[in-house]
Amino acid sequence: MTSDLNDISDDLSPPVTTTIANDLISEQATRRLFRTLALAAALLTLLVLLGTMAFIVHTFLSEFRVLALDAPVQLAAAPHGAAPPAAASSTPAAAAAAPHFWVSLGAFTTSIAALVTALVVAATVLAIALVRASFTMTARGDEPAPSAVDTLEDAPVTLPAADFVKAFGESVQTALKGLQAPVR
Amino acid sequence: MNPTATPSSSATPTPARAAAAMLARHWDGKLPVDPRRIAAALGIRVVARGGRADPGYAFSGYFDNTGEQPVIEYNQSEAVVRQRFTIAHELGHYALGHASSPRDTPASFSTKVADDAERLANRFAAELLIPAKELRLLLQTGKLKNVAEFADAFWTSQLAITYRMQGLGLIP
Repeated sequence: MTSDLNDISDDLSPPVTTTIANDLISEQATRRLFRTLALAAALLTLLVLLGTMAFIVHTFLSEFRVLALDAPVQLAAAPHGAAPPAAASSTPAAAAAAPHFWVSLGAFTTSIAALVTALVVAATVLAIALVRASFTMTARGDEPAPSAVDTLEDAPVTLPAADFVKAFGESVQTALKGLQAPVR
Repeated sequence: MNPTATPSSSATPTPARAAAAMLARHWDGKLPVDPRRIAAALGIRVVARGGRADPGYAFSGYFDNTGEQPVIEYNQSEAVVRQRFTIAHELGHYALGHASSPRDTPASFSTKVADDAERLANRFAAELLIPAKELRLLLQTGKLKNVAEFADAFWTSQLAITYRMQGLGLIP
């Protein structure tokens, strides 16, 4: 004897864990979606920053390259440090001034590179921070949030940087006492 | 397209792909996966055998594809998780283009079964009842602590969830 699908009793319901599992899966899928979005946003931010920096550096260096090409005559004409005014219009004097300019350009380029490096590092840190921020999506329900009253009571009574000034003053006083002490 | 048509054997998919395709078409994304509902959506008649009304039925399940409409039988006197696995297993015979299978005994669901068709159907059943993506997501949450809870989440046996995790390389 057989019974078809309509005869099958559905009195056996699935375990409660299935409902919990569905909620967990939904939360985890959402968390992964936001993490992916954060990663994409961080990558985009990094790319935009890098592109902007590359453009700025390229523009600076291009301008200075043009200046460098015109530099021998302009530098020679300008009252420049050790170059004597009488020799300003002569070509050998201009050639002598050029190395000094190139040294300055090299230092400037190094500064720009250092600045760009610092900005890249900052951008990378920002991107990492953005990604890290996407991980903290769960609330710690087992720890009560600090109340505003507690926060006020625990707040330092001194002004900002007062401790630093006080410590600095004590250090100076100690140094002065050391100077005034008799030599043994 | 006739929903009851058995997939052609010339383009037989792997158990994983067949199960993924079936889930994509006929599963609402909520656990537990209901193989009876999927079978009904495919136009397969699911028949309960055994129990007090049919005490002589000594098999776990059967897939009959000889008539106009495919039929899946399962033994309702067995544990619910076994019933679900049996229906999923018989769905595997259907999805993988197997002919009507011999009546499945409990030995058919063993991992040591020698018959290729039975082994593939078992793998299909595991893929269908325990989708890999959902299993990985649940593992990532770290909220379910042991195999028993995972088995409850997917409404399968602990043995099935253990083999599935091992198959996915999630546990040694």
